[in-house]
Amino acid sequence: MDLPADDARDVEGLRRGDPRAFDAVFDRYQPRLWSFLVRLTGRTEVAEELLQETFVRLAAHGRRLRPDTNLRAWLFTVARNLWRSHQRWAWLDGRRLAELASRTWGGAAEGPDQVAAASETGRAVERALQAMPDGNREVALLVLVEHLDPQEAAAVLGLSPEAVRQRLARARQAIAREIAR
Amino acid sequence: MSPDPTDPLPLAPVAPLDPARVEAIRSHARSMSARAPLPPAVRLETAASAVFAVWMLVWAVSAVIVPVHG
Repeated sequence: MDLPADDARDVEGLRRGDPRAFDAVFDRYQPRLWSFLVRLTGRTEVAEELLQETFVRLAAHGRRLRPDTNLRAWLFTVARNLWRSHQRWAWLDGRRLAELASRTWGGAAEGPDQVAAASETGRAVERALQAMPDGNREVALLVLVEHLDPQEAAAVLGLSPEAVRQRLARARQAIAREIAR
Repeated sequence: MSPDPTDPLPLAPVAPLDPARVEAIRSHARSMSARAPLPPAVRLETAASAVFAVWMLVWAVSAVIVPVHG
């Protein structure tokens, strides 16, 4: 898989500890990671916390990145793993119940407050995304929203390409059903 | 014709994070990278201290066990 030229250049900069490389990566990926995390978590305060931690990890590990690191996949992997970790802790400390309650978005107007007003189709897609199982939502967000190719998504999620294809198909079906309602 | 299974979804963009928060996050994360790795001499010293600590622990344990069982 060819890596974007900007990413390859910035990986070199990060390995040297160049703060300009960090800034370039931050500017390029912060909006995408923010969007991904808001839709993945359904809660802006959690998304904000995980976004910060993702870039803290980048800052801490930048010098140890391999020269051939796929930066985009690396960042989405960290963000997604932080969310999984957060879910486990939230379960343990009892906050899970509150999160589940807050994520039960019944109507079109009850989506995350940070998601801008959308078309009816867009709202149906948001509803479908929030209602589907976490595993399918992760795949849908990475491939259909963030435009990672399915192979990259498989690497991010630690799945086989076939598993990604199946989850993508299920996500697509769920979205189509919600739009048709 | 059926759509490409990887066609992007017709979603509205997520409202961006408050610019002040964005800069706060950037600044906080950058401060982490400002913690430069330890120079080689310090790393060596740290490793030597760790080895010494393990040796002391082994010595202390053996000093207790040997008199008891010996």
